[in-house]
Amino acid sequence: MKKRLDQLKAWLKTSAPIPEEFFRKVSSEPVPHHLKRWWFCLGGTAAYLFLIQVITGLLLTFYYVPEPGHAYDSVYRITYEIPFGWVIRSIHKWSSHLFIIAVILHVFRVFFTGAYRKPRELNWMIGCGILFCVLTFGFTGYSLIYEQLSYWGATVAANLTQNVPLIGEYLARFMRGGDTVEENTLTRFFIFHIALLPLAITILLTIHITLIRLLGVTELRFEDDREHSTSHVPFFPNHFLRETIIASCIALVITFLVVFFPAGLGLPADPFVTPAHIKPEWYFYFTFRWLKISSLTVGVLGTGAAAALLVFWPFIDRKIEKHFPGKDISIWLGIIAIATLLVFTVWEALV
Amino acid sequence: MDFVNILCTIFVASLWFSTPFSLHALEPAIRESESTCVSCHRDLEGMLSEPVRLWEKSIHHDMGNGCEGCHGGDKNDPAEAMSPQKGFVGVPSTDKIVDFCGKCHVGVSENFKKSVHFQASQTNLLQKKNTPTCVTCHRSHDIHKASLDLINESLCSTCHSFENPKRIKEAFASTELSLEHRKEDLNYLERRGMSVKKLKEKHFALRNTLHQLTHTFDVPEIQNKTHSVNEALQTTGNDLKVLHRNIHRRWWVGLGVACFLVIFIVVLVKLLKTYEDDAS
Repeated sequence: MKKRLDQLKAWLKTSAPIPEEFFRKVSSEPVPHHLKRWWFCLGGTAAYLFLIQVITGLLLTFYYVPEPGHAYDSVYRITYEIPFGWVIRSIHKWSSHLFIIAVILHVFRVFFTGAYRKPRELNWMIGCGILFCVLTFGFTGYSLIYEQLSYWGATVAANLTQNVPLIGEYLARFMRGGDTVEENTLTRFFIFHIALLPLAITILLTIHITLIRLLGVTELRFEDDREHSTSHVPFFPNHFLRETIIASCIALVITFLVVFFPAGLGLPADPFVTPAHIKPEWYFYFTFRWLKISSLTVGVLGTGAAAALLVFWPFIDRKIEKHFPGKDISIWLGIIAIATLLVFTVWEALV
Repeated sequence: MDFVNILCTIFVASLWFSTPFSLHALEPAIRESESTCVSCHRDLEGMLSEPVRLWEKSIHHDMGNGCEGCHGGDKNDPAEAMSPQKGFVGVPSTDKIVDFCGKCHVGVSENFKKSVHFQASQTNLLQKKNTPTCVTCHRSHDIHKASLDLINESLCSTCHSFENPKRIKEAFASTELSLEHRKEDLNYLERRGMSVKKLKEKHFALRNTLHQLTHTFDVPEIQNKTHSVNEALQTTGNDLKVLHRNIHRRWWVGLGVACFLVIFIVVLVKLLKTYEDDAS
């Protein structure tokens, strides 16, 4: 047996001559001690959930038909007829929600620890790009079900896009592939959901992680860290084990959600019947509420301005710090922004 | 400030801001877009605004059926809102009410036309204005949901004795209750991921047959039909038992996976602790 293993090892060494030192170096790389806190592992959590999305998403494409006449029926078959289809779809659904939560919390964590400051401005902007990709992922995925709410959600989104100054008309037509949400829209959303967005997010993630490797993780020191003699721990096994524990906890949460709250289905899309209450997914409640209380143009422009503010925050923050040094103004602005976001979200959920 | 503290502070603050008190203050801003009929009539005085107030309490409002659903007209254009060309009918005459409601409630109106109530109006046994129609029991604007409570002594005895309505009510009572329980059960199974589409269609058909039948006011026929509905409910009950068993099987498998994960997490935590102890 040992001889066989040695033979295999020798064959691998010849076929893939990667020096053992490389693996040793990568696995034993020191990571700062403060990463033991779960909220510093949110980036890894999001990556793990993205992997689940890719695997379950691929399995769903075996049965999903991206055509208006068959889309709903194929989702129905997946949910109720195909063996374990309900499990795969439910995992895909719930891990997408957790994925979005993890990314949003990751953004909050980076913001409140000031980890976006020089020299990490570019990485923050790439992170924002990932956040927007994740939200678009959610929107296109929800629309693919082709039930009443997803159909009308897509219609409302396209109508809103139409109000973007200068390029609105073009964008809306591009999104729908015509004047209304129809066959072309579903095909486009499907291509975005399974090809373009995964490609974009993979590229952005690669750059994001590469920049983290090049710039290093922000070094933070907490009060209770002082009792530790070392400021760093090895990536393997310490940090790896911690990430695995978090991944297992998430798997536990997903198991609970899948078993007790499996993915269901609403009524099939009907372009001639508008539902009494159109509601998007919870992560768009904030925007939806904002659009309801403002005029359409102000609403669309305001949303765009908020997104731009988020992307360019490192540069705005630098100006604020320059004029009001050591006043923690950014922190308070962040608290106000998140409180507004939560109030709008809860508000929309309640009505 | 610690990250978790910040998140907790924001969460508590948001909950406070989202209380009904805050929502009440912002109520005008959150009002959903409404039809021109509602937005105009709401602000009119006296009887003209009453239909809106009554309609808001009705089953039609809950089901998303607005003014235009019954009265016609264009709900989006104030100029065309009451246009006869757009099918607007204000107040239908008594003899037109059954057909007015029957535009949507086809089966009910057909059965009602077979009933003694309708026959009475056709044979001039009653004066036109006293003819019982849909609105006599279900009312207009604050339209009541079809339920057994509508068959009550104070309402029926305004025209005749309560003897026959009582027998109809008794025949329906247990079947109606079984149908309600079955509906709740089907909704529960659907929420738990079971395929209940066909069972729901069957249930809807049974319920419809029964409710439409009420309007014939034919006691022997109603008693006969409730019996067959009860039998049908018993047959579908077996299918439901299988679905309940499937749910329980899923729960057991889920519990097994959860137990495995908990053990796995505990082992990993212990393992990590040994490494951390070694490091410090």
